[in-house]
Amino acid sequence: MAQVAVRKIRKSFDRTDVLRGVDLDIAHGEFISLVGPSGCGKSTLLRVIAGLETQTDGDVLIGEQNVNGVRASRRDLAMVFQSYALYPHLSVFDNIAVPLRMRRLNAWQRLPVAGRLVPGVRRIDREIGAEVERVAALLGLADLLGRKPGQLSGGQRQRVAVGRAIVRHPKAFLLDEPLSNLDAKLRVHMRAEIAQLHRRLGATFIYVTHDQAEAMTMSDRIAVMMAGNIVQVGTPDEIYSHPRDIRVAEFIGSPKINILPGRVEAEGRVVVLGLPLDQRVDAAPGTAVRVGIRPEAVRPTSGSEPAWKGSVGYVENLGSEVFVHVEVGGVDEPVLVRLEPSEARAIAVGSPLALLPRPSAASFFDDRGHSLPVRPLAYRQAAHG
Amino acid sequence: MADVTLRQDAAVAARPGRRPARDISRLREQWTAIALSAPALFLMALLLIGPVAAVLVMSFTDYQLGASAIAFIGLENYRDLFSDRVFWTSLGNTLRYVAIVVPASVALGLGVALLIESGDSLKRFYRAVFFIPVMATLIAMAISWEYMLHPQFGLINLLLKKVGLAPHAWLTDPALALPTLAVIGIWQLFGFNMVLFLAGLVSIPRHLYDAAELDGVRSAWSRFWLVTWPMLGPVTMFVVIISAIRSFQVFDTVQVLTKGGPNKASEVLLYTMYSEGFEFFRSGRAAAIAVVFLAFVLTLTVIKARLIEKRVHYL
Repeated sequence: MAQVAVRKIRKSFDRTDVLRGVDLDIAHGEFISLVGPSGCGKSTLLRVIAGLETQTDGDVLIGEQNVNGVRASRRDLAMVFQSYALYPHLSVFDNIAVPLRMRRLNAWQRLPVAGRLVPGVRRIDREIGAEVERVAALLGLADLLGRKPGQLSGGQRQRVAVGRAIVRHPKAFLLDEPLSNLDAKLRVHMRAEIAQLHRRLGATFIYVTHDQAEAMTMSDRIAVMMAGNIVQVGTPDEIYSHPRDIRVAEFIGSPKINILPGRVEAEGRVVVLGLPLDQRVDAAPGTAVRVGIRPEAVRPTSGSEPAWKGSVGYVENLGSEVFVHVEVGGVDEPVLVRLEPSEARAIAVGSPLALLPRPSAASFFDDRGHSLPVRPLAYRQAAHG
Repeated sequence: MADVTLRQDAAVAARPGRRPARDISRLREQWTAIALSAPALFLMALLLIGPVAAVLVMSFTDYQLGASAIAFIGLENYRDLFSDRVFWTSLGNTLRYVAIVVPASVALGLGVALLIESGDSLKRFYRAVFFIPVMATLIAMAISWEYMLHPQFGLINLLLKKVGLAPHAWLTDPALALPTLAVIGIWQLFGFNMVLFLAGLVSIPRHLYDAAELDGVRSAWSRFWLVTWPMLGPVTMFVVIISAIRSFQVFDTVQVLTKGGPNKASEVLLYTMYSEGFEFFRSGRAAAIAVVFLAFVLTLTVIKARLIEKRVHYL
């Protein structure tokens, strides 16, 4: 187990730049997710770390050692593939045993019958068998050891793939969208199992996913990748509440964040659709900004104070929560509001609804999508001052 | 079949309670099915099943090509055949030929396919070069081989003399005739096997090699035994059986180069059949040899069907 770092990694396939100078430090024992839309380079970055792809430029360090010239099989990493990549002709037992056999036995000793005659091989085989059984018990695979992968369900195959990774003690675990081939229910279950496994092993996990919910629920830190770059690295909470880029704000969070047009006025005050907000930004007056407000940070109001006036276009009731789509003049997309079912009972499609943002809840982005620094201020003062 | 049933159900649902109409529509469907498959059935009967049945029947007669009389003589042809030394020599030679050609052409095909697949450049070129013998007319190629193998001024003996080795009478030495023909057979066949193996190699999922690398597989040897060879199982089975059937059919080279000689050293099953039927005009006996030949090929085909469906499929 060790820390992993990449420095200025570039990777081009022919003339397409897939990675454009990625820097990332991953601490020992950390669970970090690489998340981003498909094609952002996250899987390529993982394969570069694994040594399955050679970077065009830059360095990969594992445990402070530069492993640029070291081939994948000598980097001492384990990987769980999206397709599981189990050997279809081998039983579950043999699949899990492969990494141990490859490392502890040489080519002669691995021979099917003759190998067993070599002194010491039987003992090593017994040790390997014991370790495989221990891992199988840990993952609930004990009854399936004799089966072939073709006879297993998706979730069971996934467990075998995890078993093959954890049976030896690699420096770090690389997981490439391991849950994306599972159905929704099983995915939630395996999410918890993998997080638990991480706590138990205390090992470094690098987890690639396009599913922001997986990244949010499991990770110590998230690295959001866009178009071959890491746009932001931070804890799930930081990424969610303080996105540094409008693409991060839009990618993380479900349903999507509301993006509203705003304008900076005197003293950095921001006015959105005629309503001054309580936050001030460091930008020149007259600057157009885009304002991100999460659906749960918008409240309906019945008071007489200034508010966004709109009409309810659509109500999505999910049981535990309700999403209300409100058509507001001045924006193309409806403003999304997340409410408790009890709050939403009186809201009917077509009826007018006035909305207010919660205090200090907005993020601001300039025309290039970078976030603008915020100076918080009391809402009342901003509204009347 | 399922489709037909479905459409019947639809017809039933569309017209509830009208029994006669339903019966007529069912009848019409059955006749349509028969009418549609009739041309194929007719051609199969005419071109495949018919001739095989004819050969089988003929093998129980004393028919001679051109003769006006024909009589059933039961198993006489077979009894004759099994007591004939030439037949046993011929069968033995054929099996020896198969035993040389199959392993060599399969191993060579696999080896060349692995080399081509692992290389970066000139893949198409190599593929084409090794496939040429498969496409070429074997009779014409056999004549080229005859010149190359000529004892006095053949290219091969000249080369051997150049490097100081003794020349051989490749096609007239009884000990060498069959192996020489086998080498030509391998040369002709392995390109075909190579193409099949190349297709098999391409279909092995890349991620298995990635997984093997992460699992600590370092040598090409280990990678081959852990991933390539098992994943090629179905292809290999297919290639072995096809090669066996094709080498059982060896005839062209024997006819052009040795005519079964010297002293029956290269007499093979199809050549014996040919000489019985078209040189000695004993059609009944030739038919009996054809039946023996068919029995071998049929056995191989059945083995192929069984193994490929049951044992070597993984996913």
